[in-house]
Amino acid sequence: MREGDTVQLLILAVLEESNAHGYQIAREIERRSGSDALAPEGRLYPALHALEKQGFLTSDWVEGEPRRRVYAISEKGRGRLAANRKAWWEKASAVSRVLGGEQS
Amino acid sequence: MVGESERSLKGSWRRAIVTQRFEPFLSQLGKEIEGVVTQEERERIIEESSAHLEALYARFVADNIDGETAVQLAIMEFGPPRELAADFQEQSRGGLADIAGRAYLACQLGVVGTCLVLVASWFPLTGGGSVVKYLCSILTMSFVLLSIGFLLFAERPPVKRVLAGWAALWILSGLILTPRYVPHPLGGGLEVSQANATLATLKGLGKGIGEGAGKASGRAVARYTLDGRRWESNQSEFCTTTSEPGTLAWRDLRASEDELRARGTVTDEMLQGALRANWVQRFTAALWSWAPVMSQFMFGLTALQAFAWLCGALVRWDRRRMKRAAVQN
Repeated sequence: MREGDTVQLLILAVLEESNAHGYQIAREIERRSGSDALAPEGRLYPALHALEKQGFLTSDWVEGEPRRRVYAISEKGRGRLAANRKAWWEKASAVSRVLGGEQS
Repeated sequence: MVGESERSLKGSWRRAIVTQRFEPFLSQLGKEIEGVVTQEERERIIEESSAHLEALYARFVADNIDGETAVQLAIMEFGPPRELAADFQEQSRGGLADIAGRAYLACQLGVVGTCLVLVASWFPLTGGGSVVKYLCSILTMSFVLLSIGFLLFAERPPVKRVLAGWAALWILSGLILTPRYVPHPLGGGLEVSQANATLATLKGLGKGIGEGAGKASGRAVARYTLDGRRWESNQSEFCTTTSEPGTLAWRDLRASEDELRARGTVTDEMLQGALRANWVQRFTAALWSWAPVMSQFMFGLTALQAFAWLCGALVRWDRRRMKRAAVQN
């Protein structure tokens, strides 16, 4: 899985629970990961735009100060998330078995 | 979040409201993604990035970090514009312009490959001396450089590039092949080695080696020393059709006697004359001999260049379209 694909997977996982704009997505990833998993945060936007172009997300402006582009996951996006999540765990568990040892 | 310094940026993304503190960064980001995404997307990216940076800034300020440092930290947290542009480029892969760009590159690599095949095809002819091998290496490099030149000057009109490719092909071919060819006494070109071998056979026939062969093809190998070098005939290349010593009909063993007579005969005097040909005659003979092969390569190079130009035009059209949209906005 490429790094860009990983960012897309993280975005889909966050949006699965609620709609959010870019900054909120970054904060949620930070909260869940407990680390700087996304750094740099600007990388969210290429991934968000690509996901939207492929129909995995929808988005709309929400007026405010400043106005925000809020993203929502589509049915197609949920399908992709499920498939990618499965693939990720399979890969992660395989790598974990090879690495062994304890988490530091 | 957007304070007193809020203002509307001039230029193509003027609709995006950004603060002065992030204006240089956002201007840089706007430049980096120009031509990578559409104008509409560009405006949206600037606006989203601006809001994100402001939110980061507010967060750092809330943590009692001074304004200037907060700006720097927010920018660091967001990432360098060039990397973001590269990410956008990466994400846009698979579009028509992207495919055309790859096809263009493939075509140019094809040109390099074609040139290498052509040069490699000369090696059996020229693989004799070390000087010639050295020359071949230089020419190989010349062709590679020429092809890279095509790649670098992709904006030039295709006709000029194709004509330049043809000219280079013929001139370089002429330079390397000219010393190896003489005019054929019956028309066309003839390899020097073959001319000498034939001459050796004629001399041999004259001396009686071929006597009695009459109208049959000779199988005896004739050897002859000419200009200090030793030549050996290749009997499969020609046969005798006349009992006249020192006269041969040309080449084709499968041809009938009538055909051979119709083509004429070659005498040792004619061959001696051909071997004294000047540089221009040799050049013409060399190109004449290689014309069929060269034509194929010219066709191949032209087709590759034409396709590459079409792909390049598609990529340029896409860029122009985005720039036009930027100007209109």
